[in-house]
Amino acid sequence: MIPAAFQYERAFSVEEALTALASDPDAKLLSGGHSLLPMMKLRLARPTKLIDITRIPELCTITIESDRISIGAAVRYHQVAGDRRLADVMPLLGEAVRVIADPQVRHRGTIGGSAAHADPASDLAAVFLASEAEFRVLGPRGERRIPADGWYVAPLVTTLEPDEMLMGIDFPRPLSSRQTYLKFPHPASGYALAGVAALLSLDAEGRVRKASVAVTGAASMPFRAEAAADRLLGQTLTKDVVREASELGSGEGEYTGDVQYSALYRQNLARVMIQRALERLVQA
Amino acid sequence: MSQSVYGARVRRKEDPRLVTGHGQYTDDVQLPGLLYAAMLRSPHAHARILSIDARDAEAMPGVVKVYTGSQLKGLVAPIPTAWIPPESDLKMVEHPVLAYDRVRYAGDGVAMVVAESRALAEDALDAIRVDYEALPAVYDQVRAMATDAPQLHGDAPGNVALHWTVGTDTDEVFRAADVVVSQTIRQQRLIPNPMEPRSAAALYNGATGELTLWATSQNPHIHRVLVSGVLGIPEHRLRIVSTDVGGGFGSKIACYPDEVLVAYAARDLGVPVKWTETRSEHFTATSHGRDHVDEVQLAGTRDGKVLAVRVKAYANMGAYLSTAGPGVPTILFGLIVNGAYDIAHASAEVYGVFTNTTPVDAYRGAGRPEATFLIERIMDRYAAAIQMDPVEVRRRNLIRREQFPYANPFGLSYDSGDYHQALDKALAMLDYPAIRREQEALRRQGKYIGIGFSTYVEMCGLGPSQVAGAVGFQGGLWESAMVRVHPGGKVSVFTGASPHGQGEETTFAQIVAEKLGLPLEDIEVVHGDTNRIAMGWGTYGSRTTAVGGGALALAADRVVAKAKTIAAHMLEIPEEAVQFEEGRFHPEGSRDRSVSFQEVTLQAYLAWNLPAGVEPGLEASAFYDPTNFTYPFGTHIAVVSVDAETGETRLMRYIAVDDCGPTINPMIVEGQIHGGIAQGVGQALYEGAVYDDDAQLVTGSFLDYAMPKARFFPRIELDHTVTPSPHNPLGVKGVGETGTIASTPAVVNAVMDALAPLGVDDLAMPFTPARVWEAIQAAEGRKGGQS
Repeated sequence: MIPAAFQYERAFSVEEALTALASDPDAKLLSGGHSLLPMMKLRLARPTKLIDITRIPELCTITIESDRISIGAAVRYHQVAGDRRLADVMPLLGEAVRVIADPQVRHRGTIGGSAAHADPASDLAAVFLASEAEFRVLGPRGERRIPADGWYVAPLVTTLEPDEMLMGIDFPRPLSSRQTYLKFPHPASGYALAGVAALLSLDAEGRVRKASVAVTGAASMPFRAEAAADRLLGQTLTKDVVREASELGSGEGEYTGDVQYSALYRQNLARVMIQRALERLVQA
Repeated sequence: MSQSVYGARVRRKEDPRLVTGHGQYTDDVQLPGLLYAAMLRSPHAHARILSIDARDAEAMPGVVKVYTGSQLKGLVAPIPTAWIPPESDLKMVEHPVLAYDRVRYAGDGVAMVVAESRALAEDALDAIRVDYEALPAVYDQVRAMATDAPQLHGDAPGNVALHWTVGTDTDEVFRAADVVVSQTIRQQRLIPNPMEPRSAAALYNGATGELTLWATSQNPHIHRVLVSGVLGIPEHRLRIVSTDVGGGFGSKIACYPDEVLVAYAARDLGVPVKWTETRSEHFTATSHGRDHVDEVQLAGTRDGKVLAVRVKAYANMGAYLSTAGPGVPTILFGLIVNGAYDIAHASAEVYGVFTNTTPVDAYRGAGRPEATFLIERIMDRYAAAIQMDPVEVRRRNLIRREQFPYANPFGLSYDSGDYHQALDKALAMLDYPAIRREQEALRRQGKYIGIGFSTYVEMCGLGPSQVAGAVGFQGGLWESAMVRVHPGGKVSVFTGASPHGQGEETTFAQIVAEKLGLPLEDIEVVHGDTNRIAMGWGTYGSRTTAVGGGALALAADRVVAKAKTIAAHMLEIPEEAVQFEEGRFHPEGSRDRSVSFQEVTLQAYLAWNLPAGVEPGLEASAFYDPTNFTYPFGTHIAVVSVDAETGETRLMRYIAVDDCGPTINPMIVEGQIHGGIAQGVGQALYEGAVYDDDAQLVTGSFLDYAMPKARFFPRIELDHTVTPSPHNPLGVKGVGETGTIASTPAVVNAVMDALAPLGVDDLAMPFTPARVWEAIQAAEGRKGGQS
């Protein structure tokens, strides 16, 4: 209930944060703290030092350019949900953010914190994967850009090195205009038992020009449902096509059951949610 | 006083304090020099303790002392149980305050650290080294009765804690009956989770020998009796304070080792000590509820008349007997398995079984939800077996209005009611024929909705105390009240009941306001402090307003009677000629001359001019023992939709028509019903403790244990009928538990009704999306196999 003793330091610049991080191998960056602090209270995490990065100006901004959208790592969920410009160019992000947890969490939690914590049931993981986001990372060896596909390694593990800091997340533009996030929350935790982000572009004849589908929560890792997208490409969105795409897409996850939700159930739920997300886009 | 507050939707007096953070909860206690305790709990469900080494922990700066079980053995008595059902062969096994040789559940206390801060105390827990020898563990009560099961207690062979039977012989009826339906039902274990966790703080006064124990208790006087016995502190030197308690649902009835340990340490160290459980501790170390495996059978005719019902129950008691634990699956369950139906023959046989799990005790409804669930489920099975509408089967068997007082097969005397009226009212709200038509139409589109009924009755407000004794409750079930009018005319009301969220600071003030003709704000209700209130039995079992309110009504009447005597003297008229109306005394038929209640009060205290033989002062006490239980009843209807693809159940409508007699504050009554329904729906759809094969609790946090949430509910549609109970002065019936008792079977019946066309005919609670979906898959598999 009370964390083991730790030091707290607030960084006001990226350099300060990276220096502090380099000076202590057991230090952790603190953003919204909504995943890290509960783990510390249960003493499952025992960092010696927390480096608060939420006052670093360049981590707190949302930039929209013609070819990309850049979200600073310390941008909070509520900022995203309330940003009108974002609502126009990437409604998917606001849609996903608004179903995360509750207002208190959305007030504190950050986009970068969610990415770096890499909970396999995080709503945003599906959004990052489906929209082909890029993670901007800075460390002693300079800047790296990591595509979403290369970010998630295992539950709670990313390719971010311990001495590196996530600066922000970039989404390429233009994004497909039809986009949605559909979530089936776990009745206990509210995390996604299955969450599906889907983006579609259609040509003038109503055939699929571009498709992207990703699933979070259901499988042991969030995943891109490439087979679903492949099945959709060039097709008119008939019921059969959507059904087949959902079947194929859900088949790509690796499912592990727990005492309440079996692997079989999770795969079924992924299938149903992909199907419903696509149906929503057909109507859009 | 132009408008009576009695029966009005008065806002709760306690709420401004509570919602602005001014509540006085146990964890709010701050004292000079306060130390903080933390408990080391067993990670094993069953293990021998080989050694405990606390030297490193004790050497840590800020750590004052570490207590272990072997140090306290002989100094602190074991925790007793307070309910010994007669002829149950109850095995009163030892429950030490800290385990000294063996731990029997994951969460069993092993050591207590006292330190200068809570953080230091928790740090020190990490430094205590305990050497365990793990033993095989068992969490399931049926498996625990097998001959090769691990044994928990040397003096409880086969892990049987109790064996109890009640009722009439039903064998002959079952043999001769045309229709017999049977089902084995698991009523899963629930974790209470009140908003406020348990907490205790203790202060010992070395000069007077008085120990004050702040504790999250539903019944401070029961705590005083038990803690006094365990620690050997006489009752006149032991004060229990439970001013604001943030919900209990039964989990704060029991006397736990934790508060005893805190009190012991405060006396031992001569310094105040406080402990508050974490939510994680609450999941494993606070009593759980339900956990039955029941075999229920019903015998009936082909035309819908129930002839007999019988139940064989296996109740999980957990690792030790909790305070009221043994009474819950026996007295509070077995005596009412016929439910609201006129059934001539009924019997119940109950095994209480020890397992390597958290002890089980009362949880909102306590025994009555379990009984109600069985009868309401088996009535639906019976209806299906004879192809009759479940409403019609209920209608044919509900006790009729003219049968009251109704003697049930176990000797209970149901007080009053018109069960058919409540049923009809609820059906009218539903528009039953229309919803059945809609169900048919939706089924043709592959959509599944279901309608479920629960025509329940329950027993609450237990008493008289003679009956409490006869059923083995080690206490009385009367209640005390004192009404003290202060010289200026304001009133303090002292109740032995101990409300902890139910709103009686308001309801009781409404009773007194009505009796004394005073405004509500002139009345303060005092509870939860054994030094301020007279002996009383606390709040549980929906007894507070029926029994405590009864005591209060009597005490208030006594105050009015004395005031009337004084008023007559002041008005110089005979007492019989005095009329008391709207706070003033005047001669009957004339308002020209009158004295106010305040003037009479002042005279009572000045005592310058009192009638001969009348003592000064204006206050009165009452110790009220009810003549019998009360029996609230009603009809609940749930309409659900089931998404066959995801298995998700959604409540579309919920209708409840309840009868708790006259209502003192309808808003509070409705709040109780709303909350109760939500909790019962929690059991049907969401909640359930899950143990793994090592008897480890898998659902040990809100990440895995699903509590019902507001967004899961539609607007609940309420109405009521009013049938006063003849068993108490106010005619009221308890309403704290009816929602929980009625709603679980209503929702389960609705889901089963929705799933019927898919071929699902049995499913264990909670109806999680996965369970429902898997049941549908299995049924489709069976159909596939058949075709």
